[in-house]
Amino acid sequence: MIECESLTKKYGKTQVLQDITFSIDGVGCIGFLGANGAGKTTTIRILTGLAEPTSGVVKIAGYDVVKERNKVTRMIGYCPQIPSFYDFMTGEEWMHWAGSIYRLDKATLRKRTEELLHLCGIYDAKDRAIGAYSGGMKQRLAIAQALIHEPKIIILDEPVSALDPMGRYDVLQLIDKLKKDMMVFMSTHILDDIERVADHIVIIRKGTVLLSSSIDQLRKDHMKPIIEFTLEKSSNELESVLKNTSWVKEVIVEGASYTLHANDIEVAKKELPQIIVASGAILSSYEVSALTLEDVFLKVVNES
Amino acid sequence: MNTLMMMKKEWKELLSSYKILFVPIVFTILMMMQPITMKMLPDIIEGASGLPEGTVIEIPEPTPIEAMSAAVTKFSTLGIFVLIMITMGTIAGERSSGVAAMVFSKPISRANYYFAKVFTYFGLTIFGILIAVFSTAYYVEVLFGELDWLHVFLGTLLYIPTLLLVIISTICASGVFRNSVTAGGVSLVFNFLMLNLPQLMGDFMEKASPEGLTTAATYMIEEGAWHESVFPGLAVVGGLIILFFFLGWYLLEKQEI
Repeated sequence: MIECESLTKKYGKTQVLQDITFSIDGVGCIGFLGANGAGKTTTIRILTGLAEPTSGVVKIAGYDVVKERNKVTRMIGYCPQIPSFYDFMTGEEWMHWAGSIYRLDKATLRKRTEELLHLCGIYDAKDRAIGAYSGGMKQRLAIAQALIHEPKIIILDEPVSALDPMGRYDVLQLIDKLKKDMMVFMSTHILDDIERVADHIVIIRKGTVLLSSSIDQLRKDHMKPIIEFTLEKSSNELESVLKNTSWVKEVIVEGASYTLHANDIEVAKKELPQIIVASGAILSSYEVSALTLEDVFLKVVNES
Repeated sequence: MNTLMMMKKEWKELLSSYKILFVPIVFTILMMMQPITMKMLPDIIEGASGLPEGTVIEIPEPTPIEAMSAAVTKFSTLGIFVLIMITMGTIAGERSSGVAAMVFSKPISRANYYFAKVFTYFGLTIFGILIAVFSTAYYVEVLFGELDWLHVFLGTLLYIPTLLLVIISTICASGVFRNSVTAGGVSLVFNFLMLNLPQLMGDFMEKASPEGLTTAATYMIEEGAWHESVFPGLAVVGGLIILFFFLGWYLLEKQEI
């Protein structure tokens, strides 16, 4: 549903996007990850037709975002990082105004407005001027209005970055609901949020895509379990035994702390304690853990 | 169709910000000040201290026509400033606040958006100036005597294009610059030059300018006839309005939001 091919963007002499290529389809939540300044917002501005690419092709639901902007805008709903509204309007008036742009009839407008304001938790504030809304309420209204025309894709640019913990929790819950029926394309640099809701991630750095993968595939490829243990005293003998063991992929030793990556975690869990005991070393801590998305992100970014 | 949706929003904004109210009121006050001052001038001078005893100053009372045409002429400077102030943020302000990004992520084209702004502010200006002229004309009749309302109306019609030029040049600048103050400043400089430079550039240029059209407007009010600067003035001002209309549209199409 979203296809970016060799997308580049230059502002003067500054190359903001170098080569953004990825393709994603179906429903679910797409986490668009990158550090500050990686090019997330520029990519989103191009996806939404607010900026034009310097070169490359971007298609949404088969429509070119530059040549068929009008069709694209009917397919997407957009919620910017810091949403702004006509502050003189009430929440309900903005919803009606936004809906009328999509030619929704009055009955549908009223029904959708009520449903969405309830869904986003701001129904009680519908008659208040938007100028009196808090940042969190504006964020919720931005999501609600982006859904008024039942888009196929909703694009959220760092939707929870300005929210307090409760607001963040609520918005992530909402995204979890929405992704069942549509594609939610969400940019963020908060890895915990992505880990919670995303089904597919695209990682970019310095305007280039480093990784585009489903979370399941990512877990398979990168998030391999590891065993971390600490001895009372480091043991060279143990280190050499481990390095010569077939199921051990890699051992990282820092003083008396060991990090072991195994080819087969089940075998490792069974045999490692026995090897440690046999080497005569004394354990002070032992933990089986997995690489988090944060570890993967750092790994991918550092390897690039 | 979406131009209409944008226009609905613009008019709602004019209502909620009370621009629809204060623009005609400010225009009326600015315009009325001149005839009121003219009427009160002898009393003001008489009341002023420091004149030697026995001084006699005779100021002939202006005719209603003179009072009315002076009102229109004197309105220009401050009226133009007010117009620039109310228009300069119309696009620039929405771009810098981010609300333009919300609007343009919907099926609203730059043309829909631009046309709505231009037509709304044209409408507001025409509405404001008509209220101001007719209220002033009423007061002039009360203070000085009868006026020919048809000539006042025709003179106002001749004066309106100059104001529309101020509006369109300010909207054009507002579409180019993200900062409202910069847009207003550029428009102020441009309009100041447009109003004053042609006077220094010979007879023909004086006629073929906004100033020439203002002269034609006051001439119509005073004499009830077409001044020789009507056609060159209308051609140049009309041409500039069309030029800025398309230039503003073109530049907005080229701008990133």
